[in-house]
Amino acid sequence: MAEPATGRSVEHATIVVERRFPAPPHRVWAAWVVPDARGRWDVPGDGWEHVEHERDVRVGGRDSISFGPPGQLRYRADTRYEDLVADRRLLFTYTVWDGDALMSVSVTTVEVRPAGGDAAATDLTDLTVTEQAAFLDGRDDPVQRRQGLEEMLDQLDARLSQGGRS
Amino acid sequence: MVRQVPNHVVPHSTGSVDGVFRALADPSRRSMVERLTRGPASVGELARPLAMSLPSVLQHLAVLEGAGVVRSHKAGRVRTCQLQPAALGTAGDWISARRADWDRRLDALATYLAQPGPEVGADG
Repeated sequence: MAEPATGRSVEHATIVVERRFPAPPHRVWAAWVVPDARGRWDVPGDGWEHVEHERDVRVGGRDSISFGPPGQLRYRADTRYEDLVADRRLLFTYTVWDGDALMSVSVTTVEVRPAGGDAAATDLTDLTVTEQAAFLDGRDDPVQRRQGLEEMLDQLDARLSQGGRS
Repeated sequence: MVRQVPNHVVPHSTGSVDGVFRALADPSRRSMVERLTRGPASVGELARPLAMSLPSVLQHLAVLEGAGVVRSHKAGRVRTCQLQPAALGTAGDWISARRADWDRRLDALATYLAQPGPEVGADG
């Protein structure tokens, strides 16, 4: 093949998501760290299936889940908790695999802060999730690049048929 | 054969994805990009099937490079062009999907917190 091997490209992104919850900080924190609580909200959506291999929320502890469309547990997320400050912060790293292809490596910080004047009396909590991620792109051969162009043109089609501002 | 897309200006907004869309909204540039999916090419090789003047090809190339779809380098008198892998790749999709997934998870957290729960505390 005349094409030199380029390998997979990497793209970096920082994702920041903020929310305010009508609940005290210790409940928000507990929702992240107490296994029974965590399992009640932190599950894949859209009818996807998941299997939890491990859930160990403490410094040095690991989570591991497999998930995917029904009948296809193709993705795996492995998390390692690096820093936990009660009622304040979780800091963890995680990788996502699609089969045997690494898709992303992330450093994620979850910050929990009382919203409102008196930290001891508030029932309002601000939450900030900051994820710094490296995403790996697997389109490193002509067929995949052609597929990438087709998908880009699909998106362009969709945008143009919507008309006006996107 | 590269598909046909309505050839009118994509509405302006900020962001590199729209730069890529604007770059691809031109059929000659789409032809050039399609050729480059098969591997690197010189400017001359890109120009040949387009029956277009070299300055015009270079102008299209400048748009593609400005959008980050293509990069080129000159060795001697030959300028060689190749696709930037990330431009047509899945990374941008995954970034959007990851953000959407956080929105979904935090919506679920909000729903969970809205339900009366036992006063559970962490072990620390």
